[in-house]
Amino acid sequence: MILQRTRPPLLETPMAVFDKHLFTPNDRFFVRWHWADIPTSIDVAAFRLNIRGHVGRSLSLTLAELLAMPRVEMAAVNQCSGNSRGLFQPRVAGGQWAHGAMGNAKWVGVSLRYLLDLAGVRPGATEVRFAGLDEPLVAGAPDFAKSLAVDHARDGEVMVAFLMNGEQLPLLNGFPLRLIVPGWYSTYWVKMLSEIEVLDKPDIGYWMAKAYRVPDMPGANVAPGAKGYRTVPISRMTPRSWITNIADGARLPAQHKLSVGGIALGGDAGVAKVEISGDGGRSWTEARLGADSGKYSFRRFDGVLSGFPAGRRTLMARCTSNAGIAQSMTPNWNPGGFMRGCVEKTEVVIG
Amino acid sequence: MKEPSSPQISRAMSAVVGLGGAVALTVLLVSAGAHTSLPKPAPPPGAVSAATARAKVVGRGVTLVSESVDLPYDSLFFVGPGSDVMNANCTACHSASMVTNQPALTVEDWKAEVDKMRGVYKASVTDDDAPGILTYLSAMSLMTAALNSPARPASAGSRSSDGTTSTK
Repeated sequence: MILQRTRPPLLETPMAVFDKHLFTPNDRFFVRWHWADIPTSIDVAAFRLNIRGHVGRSLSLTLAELLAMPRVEMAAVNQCSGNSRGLFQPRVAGGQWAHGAMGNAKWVGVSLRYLLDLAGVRPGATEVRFAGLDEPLVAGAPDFAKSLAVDHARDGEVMVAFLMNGEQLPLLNGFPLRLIVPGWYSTYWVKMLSEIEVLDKPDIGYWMAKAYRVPDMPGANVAPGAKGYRTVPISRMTPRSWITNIADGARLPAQHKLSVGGIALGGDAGVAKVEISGDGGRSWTEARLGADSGKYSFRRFDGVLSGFPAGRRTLMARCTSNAGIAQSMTPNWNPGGFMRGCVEKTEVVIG
Repeated sequence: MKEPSSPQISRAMSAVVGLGGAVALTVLLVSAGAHTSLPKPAPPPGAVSAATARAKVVGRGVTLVSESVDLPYDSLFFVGPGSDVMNANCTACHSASMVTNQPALTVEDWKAEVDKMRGVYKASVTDDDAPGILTYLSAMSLMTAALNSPARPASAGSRSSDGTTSTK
């Protein structure tokens, strides 16, 4: 792992991991915490998931009760809102991630809709707020909590997961329970989930009203220094793709055919196609797509580029989602360093 | 001591060793041997016992087992002139590396960060200490800008082939 910060932990997954594994191994999965007061031990017998607020009856569920409930399973990419922030130009403050603040896993758990129906959402409910066991070290600092609209929370896809790639979650990835919000950025995927609160008014807490907000523009894109634009809470992911079999800056022997492969993400809509280029985007070749593990999963792509004279070459991959959205050729920018989604460059020297 | 920590944490701890050099290089305010270390604090009284750590919950083919980890103690500190005020105020809540890994930011950017730490995250920074923090951060960014010129994102910079090295 690439250590970005020891406390609270920020650990980035090296790109080589994504070349070897479509599903990111649990012990190579990126880690990001906001507050340093993280429980370092969880007693499964004592743990409770509380559901309260604007509901017919409050619940305090044991893990045994959750394991007895109907299960759902889904493959989904968990990507930090600030993934690739370190590549923003001009540079911005925050965790200086390259592309490894993301991971793909098979999640098993209980549908959030099932849990909310068990508690009985009352008429007039607007949002559902989620919080975990981590806490600020300093009194008065805002405890981390995120909210989803009631209809989103009840869409049948959002789930409370207790298995990640067939195993219990590592503690640093949110053991014992993590909220899975398929197609949305990781900020909503609350770790060590312990509180679900149904609200009858908008969540005006810091983490929704002030933090993790993006310009209300396509691609969250504004000019550096721009002021006065409207912002909205970050939400759906956008299509992305990465060449993983060739490292940026690699020197390659002269060759007529070059195999180029990697992973793509359709954002919230699945991967329709991936094209690859060996000439900096002047010409494109459609790559072959690997197995489809669902619209929220990574999808492998592989292709062959031919005709490589010696010299510097710029390799690229471009994903188009099933919603018809293609990655932009130019980088987006915003002061938070959120939602990078452009076509990435892999610079190589041939011969 | 508790059981050995997860592979992630072990890797994190070995990466911390490498980070020591990076911090010293980035800050570059004093000579070699600049970073100091403190002993890891003793576990608090009442830390989870081995018996609790083995508790299990079973249901429909899934077993969840109580889990604990040792988070690495961060032994890296700010160094050089003016570092006392940094170590006294900033590392209470987060690693020095969160600061030293930042790109070259303007004085205005740093002031916004310090204001956020004080105003929103309730860092107990006194009015007397705030100017010293800003001075240190601004000097650090000048150094970072000089080291990184021509600009190249640090996070996309030097890494070993297995991708295990960290930061700048």
